[in-house]
Amino acid sequence: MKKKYNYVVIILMLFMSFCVVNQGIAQELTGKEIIEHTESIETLKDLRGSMEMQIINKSGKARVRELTIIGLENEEGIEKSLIRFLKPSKVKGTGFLTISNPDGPDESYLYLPALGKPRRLSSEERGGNFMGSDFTNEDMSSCHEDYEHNLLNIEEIDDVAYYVVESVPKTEKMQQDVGFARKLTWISHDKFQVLKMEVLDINGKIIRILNYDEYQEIEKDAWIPTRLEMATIESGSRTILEYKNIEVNTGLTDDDFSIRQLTRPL
Amino acid sequence: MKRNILFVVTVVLLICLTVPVFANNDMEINGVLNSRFDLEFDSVNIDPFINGTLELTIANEIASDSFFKLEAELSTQKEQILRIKEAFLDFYFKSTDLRLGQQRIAWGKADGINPTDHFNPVDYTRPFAEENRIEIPALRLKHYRNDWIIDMVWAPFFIPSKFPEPGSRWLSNGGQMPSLPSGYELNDFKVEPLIEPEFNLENSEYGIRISRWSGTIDASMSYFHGWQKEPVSHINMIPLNAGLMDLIIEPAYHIIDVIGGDFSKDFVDYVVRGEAAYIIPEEEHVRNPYLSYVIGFDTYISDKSYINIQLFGEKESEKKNKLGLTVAYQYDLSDYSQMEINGVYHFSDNDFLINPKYSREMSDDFSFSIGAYLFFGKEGTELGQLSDKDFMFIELKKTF
Repeated sequence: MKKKYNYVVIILMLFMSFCVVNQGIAQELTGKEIIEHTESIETLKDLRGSMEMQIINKSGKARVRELTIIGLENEEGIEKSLIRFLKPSKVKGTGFLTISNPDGPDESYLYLPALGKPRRLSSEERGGNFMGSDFTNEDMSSCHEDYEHNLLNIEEIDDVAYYVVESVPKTEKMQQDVGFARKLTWISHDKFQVLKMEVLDINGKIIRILNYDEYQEIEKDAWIPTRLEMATIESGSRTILEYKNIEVNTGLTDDDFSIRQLTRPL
Repeated sequence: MKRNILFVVTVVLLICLTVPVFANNDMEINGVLNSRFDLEFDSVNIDPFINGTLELTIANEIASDSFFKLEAELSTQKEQILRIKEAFLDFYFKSTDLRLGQQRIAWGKADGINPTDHFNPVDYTRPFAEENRIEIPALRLKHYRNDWIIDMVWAPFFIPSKFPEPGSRWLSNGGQMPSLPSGYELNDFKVEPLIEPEFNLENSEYGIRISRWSGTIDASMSYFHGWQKEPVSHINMIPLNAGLMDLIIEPAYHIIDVIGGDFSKDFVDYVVRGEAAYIIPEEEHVRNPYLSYVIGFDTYISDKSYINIQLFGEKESEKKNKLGLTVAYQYDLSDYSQMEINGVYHFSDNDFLINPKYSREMSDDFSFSIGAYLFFGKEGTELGQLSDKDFMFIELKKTF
């Protein structure tokens, strides 16, 4: 399985956690169809907004990062993202530009203001978490094609019916790569909103829990979670991501994802 | 003098244009407070060096199509207490950006050693600082067209590299006294004063760099015309009667033309970077034209470890070629602590430097690092001459 750069994660998280209201969809859905439905919104072309990330250790001490994000899928199917850091001040102005080509190698560039010039990065990176947070690539950016999805049951929580879908890595090697054995996702029956995700190890023990919250309707019947909280059970740490001022289909173009924009001072 | 007047004019202009922004509540001042303690562990002499710096940065948009930045540094270093690092105005047009003012022009894709990078002089009073280039007043125009960037720079003033003053820690022992022809004895020895080039249009520096950033490879070609920022000494031997000889050293700055190129390409797991420049001194008696080059790669060996290796060298006709190696290895001990080892080795002189370092982020705005610089090699070699200046350091950094 290919691992994208960590900073692509936060863009993908938004793109992948969109959900559209269940409008006359057949009731007998498979696990795969349910997962696919949570990720599909054909009218989404681009996205812009800002994000605050709080990384809280077990003693309650928090570190805060603020960044701006823009993302685009152009007509050729090329996905582009540009992230600029606003806080903390030591990383202010740092930027990541990523261009995912469907038919060719991906391009990734880092800009550090102190260096004064962009720097090409390798298109793959081995694991690790995102900026010291509890999020990993595997939690959020993994492609659903890499998993077998099974609908386990339908559970009712607070008078809302949820599909419980189990996702298992297709191969043993992939299971070793991702560091978990399976994950369970609770998806609402009516709006296809993800409520939470549990990541489990080979013994069935929960490693991490991700809660989705504060859904915002960004287009008619299309919702996005603007608050995500990931807790790592063993370390007792947790990370809260809050998206702000999210706008979609704002008319971004390829020119907004260029070396020029990456290196422009903040 | 003219340079000082123009600098003052630039700063005044900058202040006038940015007054509306100062009035704006969104104005933000960022800074870094750095405190560093160096301890040389020479067997005879143990000297501590304590240096503190405070960097303040004010930067903001003036309007949607313009930006300003002012960065100043206050230092306890006696050579320079106050230094304006960057002070520029940006203007953004449809496909062109204009930057006017004191700035850093960083050309080249290699790490640390950039044969194509000649605009900014070097501050040799801080040879091992993270960034030891001196910003210069310049006008820079970048034109963007699809994947292409045309970067044009004009720098009207000559600013030389900065060397340590007498008594300074990093002052080298100087070159050896040239040997006289047999049968002669030294009568008089004199060093002529070093004269900086006059400020006029003819003495200004300029350059152009055309680069392309694409999915498969990033590459650029560049041309620089300007001054070598370090003086070259000419030795004048004047024979007198009775086997005596006067020796006169005439240090002078010289013009160079530099034709260069660089590239970077990623091969999925690793990135290869290369950079080369052909440097042509305008006066041939100064030095023969020579080729300077760097080629290397960097990659993540595992989730936590990163390595960067570069081969660098110089090739000059009728002279011994220089060849060296840089290695940088980083290992993440945790999300907030890192161990790194950097090294430089010169094959030709068999001298080398090892720089281990441990750093830890105590919080988002406070970090601590400890490390050492260890020099090895024969006296007279670039790194060997520092072998009695091995030192360890402790650095505390607070950002706000």
